[in-house]
Amino acid sequence: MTGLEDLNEDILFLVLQYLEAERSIFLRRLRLVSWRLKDFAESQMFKRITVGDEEDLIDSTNRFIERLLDPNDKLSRHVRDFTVASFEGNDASSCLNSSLFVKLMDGFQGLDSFSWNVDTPIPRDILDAFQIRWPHTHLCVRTARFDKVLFSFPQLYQLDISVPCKERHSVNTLSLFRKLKEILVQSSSLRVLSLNIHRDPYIHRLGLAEVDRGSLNLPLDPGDQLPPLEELTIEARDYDMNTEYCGRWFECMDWKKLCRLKFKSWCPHEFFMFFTNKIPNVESLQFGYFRGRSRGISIFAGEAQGLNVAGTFIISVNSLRELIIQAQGTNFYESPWDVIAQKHGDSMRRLTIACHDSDLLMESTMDMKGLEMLSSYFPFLQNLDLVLSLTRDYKSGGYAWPAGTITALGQLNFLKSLKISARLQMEGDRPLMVCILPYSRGLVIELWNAFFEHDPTSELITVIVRFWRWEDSGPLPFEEHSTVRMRTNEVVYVGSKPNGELKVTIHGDLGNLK
Amino acid sequence: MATSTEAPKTVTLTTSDNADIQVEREVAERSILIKNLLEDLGGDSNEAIPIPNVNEAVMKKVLEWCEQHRKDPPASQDDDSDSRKKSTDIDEWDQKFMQVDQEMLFEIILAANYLDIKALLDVGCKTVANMIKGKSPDEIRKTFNIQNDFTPEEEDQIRRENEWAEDR
Repeated sequence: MTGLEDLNEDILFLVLQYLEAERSIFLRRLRLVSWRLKDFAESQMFKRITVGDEEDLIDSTNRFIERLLDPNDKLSRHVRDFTVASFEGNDASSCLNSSLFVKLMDGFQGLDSFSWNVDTPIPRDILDAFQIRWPHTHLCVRTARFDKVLFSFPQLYQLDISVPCKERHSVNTLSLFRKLKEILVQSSSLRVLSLNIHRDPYIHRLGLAEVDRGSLNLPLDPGDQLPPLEELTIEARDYDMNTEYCGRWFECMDWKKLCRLKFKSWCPHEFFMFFTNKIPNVESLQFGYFRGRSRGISIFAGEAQGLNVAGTFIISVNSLRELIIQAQGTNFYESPWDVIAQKHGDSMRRLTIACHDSDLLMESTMDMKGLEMLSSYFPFLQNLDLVLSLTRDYKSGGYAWPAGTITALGQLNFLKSLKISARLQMEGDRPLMVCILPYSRGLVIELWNAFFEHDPTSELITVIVRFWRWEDSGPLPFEEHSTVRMRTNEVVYVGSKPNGELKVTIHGDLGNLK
Repeated sequence: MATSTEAPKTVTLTTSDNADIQVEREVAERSILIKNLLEDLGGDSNEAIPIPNVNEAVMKKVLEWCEQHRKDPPASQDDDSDSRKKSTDIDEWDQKFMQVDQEMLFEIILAANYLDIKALLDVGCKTVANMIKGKSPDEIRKTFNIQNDFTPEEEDQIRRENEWAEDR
């Protein structure tokens, strides 16, 4: 008789997809049903494994290694993505070493990617074992250490690097950009590139010459050819992105393959203007802008510059699915949201309006206007992340969502995940939990209910609300003078519906209130 | 000069238990496997199509679903077109269609997978997911008549590992 255990792993995986909200619980339960289902559950649970020798990872790393090296254990068959998150080197590490990595490489049965997220040099024998055993597997590297051997590796697929320079925000300084470019133009396999910049006071030790002096960017020359990137991230806002440079980069790369473009918290105006109509296949875009807040000037003045320039670029791409903006709020009533919605309303699945880095310390509120436009602008949104400011209800002394917010968000019928970052102000010496605890659970439930009151078959799976504020952490013990030092204090509420009922869990340091 | 002939409107499918089933081509072509086979055989072939992995009873049930959904738009490569539907919803006709004994349910799922009928496979998987939702390991065993083949010691070990897996 055909039964559940007779379904192959592909079909069982499809079943699992419909249990997404409780996927990890479901997998753990399946492990306890029978050997066949245990094998299936482990094939999903252990697809991605991360090891490292930092304190948080030592226990799980030791357990993984014990299982991976056990010839009777099937765990090594399931690993597809293997990540090394920290490694102090053969002599210093308490649980990892080169020969162990080589044994693990030999034991894996079907590796898709090997990630080296470490600033210490990769031992040559690990690279050799990887190349011999897994010649077609992607190598992904995240590091702040310039490693010519690693960066020149023929399987390098993803590189996330912070480039050292002598001075930030300079148009004529020593940096490793030239040496990096010389390696990148030789690469044929690189598809994901993330560039950041940091000041290195010891840069003189890197043996740079006058030829390495120049602007803070990859010094592209006519005839250079970069690999056709699918994802590009430029985090450093002092990356020199002038119009002439954009023209050179355009000539040096096939931009039609680029799907994901991220500028984190800045808005490179000249880039957006030059590349309008030139990168048609971008599906995911991230950028940020800082809004002017001078007296008498509209709080959206900065938005007019930031969003409008990017807006022209945005409507020039074919079909945007994901838009992430760091801007401390926005006004959906204003242009260019209407034209962005007209072009990408049906395709948009994820929208994030996150707090701008520069705004974090300001005693300002988050301005979010026109939320009621969201459901008509982007009716098929599945993920929404917003910053909001709670309002004070002076009758009860408690907190409330801004007027209209609940009704506006509840209209998003296809939303699966909603994350809200709600900032609170200091109230004298009252601890955060004392201020928010009487109201927080009610606020989460009110939000949740808005969706199901509007549509009982709402797609919503998870609501996460982060209540946070800046607090003075006081001077350090050795400081003679009082210095204002700020730290964030937060409490996070997660609401999900694993078994048809809303379950709210709290994450955060609750102290005596726990 | 050759004259163009219309493709036959019906096709014959031969099931694993050697039963011949006549069905309209449009209905049979809900299956991507059959559609591709028919295209490979050419438009004017009257050959019976062998379906060696599906028996007559299951094939008739699958064709009943195909008949009901004959006018549905073809499956899109864009998986988001599916997510526009309610992911946990099964429409009323499909719910009734799936009210069969468990053996038939799993046979339909396996047949949908073999015949490459994505929408039917999805309905089957959703039905199974709904049967699993919220159940403990013991309840899952009872629902699907699965033998517990762990020793008590093995079960204890897995429970301990689950705690560890939860924390990692």
